[in-house]
Amino acid sequence: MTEPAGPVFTRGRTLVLVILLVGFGAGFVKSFERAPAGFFQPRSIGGAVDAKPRFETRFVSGGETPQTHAPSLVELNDGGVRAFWFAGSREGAKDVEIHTAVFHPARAVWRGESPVASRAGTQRSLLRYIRKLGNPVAVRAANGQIRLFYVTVSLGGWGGSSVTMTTSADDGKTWTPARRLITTPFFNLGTLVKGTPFLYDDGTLGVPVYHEMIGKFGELLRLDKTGAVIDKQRLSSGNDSLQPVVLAQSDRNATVLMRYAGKQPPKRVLRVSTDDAGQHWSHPEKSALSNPGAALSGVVLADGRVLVALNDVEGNRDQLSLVASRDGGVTWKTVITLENQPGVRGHPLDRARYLETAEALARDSDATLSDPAGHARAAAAQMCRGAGCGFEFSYPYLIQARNGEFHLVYTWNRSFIKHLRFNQAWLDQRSGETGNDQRH
Amino acid sequence: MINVTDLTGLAGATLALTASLPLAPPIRRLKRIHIGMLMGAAAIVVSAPIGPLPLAAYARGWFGDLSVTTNVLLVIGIFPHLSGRRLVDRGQETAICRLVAVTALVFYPLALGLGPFDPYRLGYGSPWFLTGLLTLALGAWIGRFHLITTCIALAVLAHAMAWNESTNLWDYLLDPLVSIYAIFVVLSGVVRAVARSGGRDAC
Repeated sequence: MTEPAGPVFTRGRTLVLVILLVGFGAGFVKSFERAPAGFFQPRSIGGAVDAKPRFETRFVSGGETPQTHAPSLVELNDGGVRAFWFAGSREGAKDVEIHTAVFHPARAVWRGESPVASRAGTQRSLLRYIRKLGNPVAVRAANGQIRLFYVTVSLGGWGGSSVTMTTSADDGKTWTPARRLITTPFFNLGTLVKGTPFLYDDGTLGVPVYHEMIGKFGELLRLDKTGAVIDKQRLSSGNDSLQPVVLAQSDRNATVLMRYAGKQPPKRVLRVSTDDAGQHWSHPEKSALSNPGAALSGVVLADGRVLVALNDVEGNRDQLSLVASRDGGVTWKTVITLENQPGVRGHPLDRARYLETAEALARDSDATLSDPAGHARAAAAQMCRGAGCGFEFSYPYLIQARNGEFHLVYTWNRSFIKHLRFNQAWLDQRSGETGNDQRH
Repeated sequence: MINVTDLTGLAGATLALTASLPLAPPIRRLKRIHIGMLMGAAAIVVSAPIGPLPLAAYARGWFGDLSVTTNVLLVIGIFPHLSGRRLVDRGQETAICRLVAVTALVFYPLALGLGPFDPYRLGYGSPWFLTGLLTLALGAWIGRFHLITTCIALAVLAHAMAWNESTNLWDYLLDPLVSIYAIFVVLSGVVRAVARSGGRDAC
């Protein structure tokens, strides 16, 4: 091509000024419509509906896929509980889907495991290529709809993640087409979700997320009632914090616990706090809670106590405990150690002994299981490698239902999702029993 | 039903894919009418579903929605190949490339986690950020850098109209593709200027 002739627009100074005035006029109008900062809305759920201590365990998933991971929960309008988790041949595989099932409290059973989101379906909704799916979390929005957030990756590993959202107006029976949240300026890469979302007092939604590309740090998204992102705050910076969990103790006070992803010992849960509803956050500091760099989950009780489920050892994910704090996360006491396989820590089991142990654990976890040996074999398929077999009880997700009951789900040996249901009476009993227990 | 933001996003991806065609030497030698026809055909091909998605959707999956600045620069880049005339003076392009390059070099490291300050947060409707942009746009207008003023004003307008999927103004002003392009062009201009002692920038 020959050198182009002179420019078309050599004048138009007035036109540019008009564009400027129109553009910024619209921009300032939109800016003034922006929602003011909200306050936290701490949940104040009272005691249990019955005074008798209740503690039950069972499996949520039915072993439809070789691997399951990262469960979350949301309470339904009828008092039931819906769980979500990702399931497929292996983490990061193209066949991974988001599965769901519903717990019926009266019958104490999980029913209707089915996929709620797939890679192909998400791709069609988003009109963009999707390579894999990851962590799902759900929340009931102020308008009563359930919003499900899950991780989608178009490019590369988990560092290439973004958060996708879908909504249900009928408690999870049907879902709207997925839409993507834009949360970073660099190809929208690097944002994942894991912590429990929560409501602000103005009906906007707080979604704890984390950035995992180049740096690793916690962030907090704020979504308006339509699900659009209207703010994003950094809860930490650098390269050593992941998966924040926001625990609001009052309308202005909240503690955030984060998984420590650094290499500097000791490995402890990171803690930040605010006393002005999140306008400012303290600098992250290591708490007294040991953790191997694994996800945790928690709730704030009506009496102000913070109850957290986590792997409370530094090395592995083979011990899972409930711990409680009366001082906003400064000091902690163990309520109960739920899973513990210290005998195998650092000393992998051979397959035969692993199958025997896993079968016993499966039977103890769910008395109604018809084939606990099958559960053990499924666990071995995920947890046995060349050096031997190990146990993993990870990625807990804890909620308190409106009737005061607690529901905890977590990954059981990467092959099943396990569910614990307990009430305030059981918790108080355990707390009494462990009044002089190990202080963290 | 397809969203408006999907249409604008796919249109941007289609524009980016077809705009690269005239860069190929065999195509540059064609007549303008043939280049136009070729680009039109390419736009149809990349927009049509091949398998589950159109090629433009795959591109959109990788690089996201394009900023207003990128779209404007793509149109400016295509225009001479189709009309034989520049859309704006070369100095206007040089100025916006320099501004984009400097902004990107400061913005992206901070927005991706270097330190506690996140400039990306300002894009969620901060009136102070908007005031700063207005000052910059007015300054550019006074200095007759009209392409800068136009890009900023169109980005603010597109953000107000929710033109793209993003709710953050930064995504309308800047994206990684235009940033990489601007940094590359500015650096090569500097290298050429040093080599030839006063050579002219290309952007």
